Amino acid sequence: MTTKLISISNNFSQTPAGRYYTDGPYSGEKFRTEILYPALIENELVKVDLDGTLGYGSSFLEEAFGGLIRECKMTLEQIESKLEIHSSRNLYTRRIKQYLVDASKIKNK
Amino acid sequence: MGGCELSLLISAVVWIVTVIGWFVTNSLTKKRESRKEVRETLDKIYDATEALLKSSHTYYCSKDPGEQEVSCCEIYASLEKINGLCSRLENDYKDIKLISKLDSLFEIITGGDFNSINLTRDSTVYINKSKEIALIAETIRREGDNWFNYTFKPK
Repeated sequence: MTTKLISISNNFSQTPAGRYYTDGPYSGEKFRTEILYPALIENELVKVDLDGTLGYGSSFLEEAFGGLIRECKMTLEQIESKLEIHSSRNLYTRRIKQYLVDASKIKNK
Repeated sequence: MGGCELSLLISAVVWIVTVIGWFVTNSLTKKRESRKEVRETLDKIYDATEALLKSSHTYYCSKDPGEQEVSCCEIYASLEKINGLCSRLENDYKDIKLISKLDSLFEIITGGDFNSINLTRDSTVYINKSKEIALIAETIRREGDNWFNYTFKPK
């Protein structure tokens, strides 16, 4: 099984911020488009480590992860089978799970 | 009943009363300790929520980039602190529900243009957001206190 490890702080930015490319250089859209989604396509398992950054805003997280369903047309089941999120701060893992569920519900309406 | 048997009976009764008394005292002490711990945790949650409100206001209204940066860090730190405290409380007491309120605060404060280069810093623009934030903070306090008074009411 091919596994990819992504550390947001080491592989992207220690200060991820904003939703879209227009919001800044380290947006959720950029992370999803250039790092996360390609990794999910190319690997059977992707582990994302959220630790090491200053913190995350909801716009960044929702666009980076919720956008997998909304923009990249992945399903919740595909994401759950391929994506593992690691964080010492369960506030973020909890919110990400909610964004994925909410995006899936909207998509299925 | 012979004297010996009566003496044994009295000893047994004394022992039973002593053991029951020990259990009751122990239980009351534990409850008092729990009450104190929970009260302290709730007060820490309220203090951290107040700090979050202040940092939020500074972040969205200050024109000083240094202050904006510091308040951004403070926002992250306060959110994580409140999350840790609420999680601990909800692990021990399943009937208190503060995490959902915290999630709402997270969405309001760090959603929208938070950390965007396009963010407009203006107290008049922030006014609606600040009302929502204050309302949730007030709800956290009210629900926390109501739950505490119900859970630890004198019986």
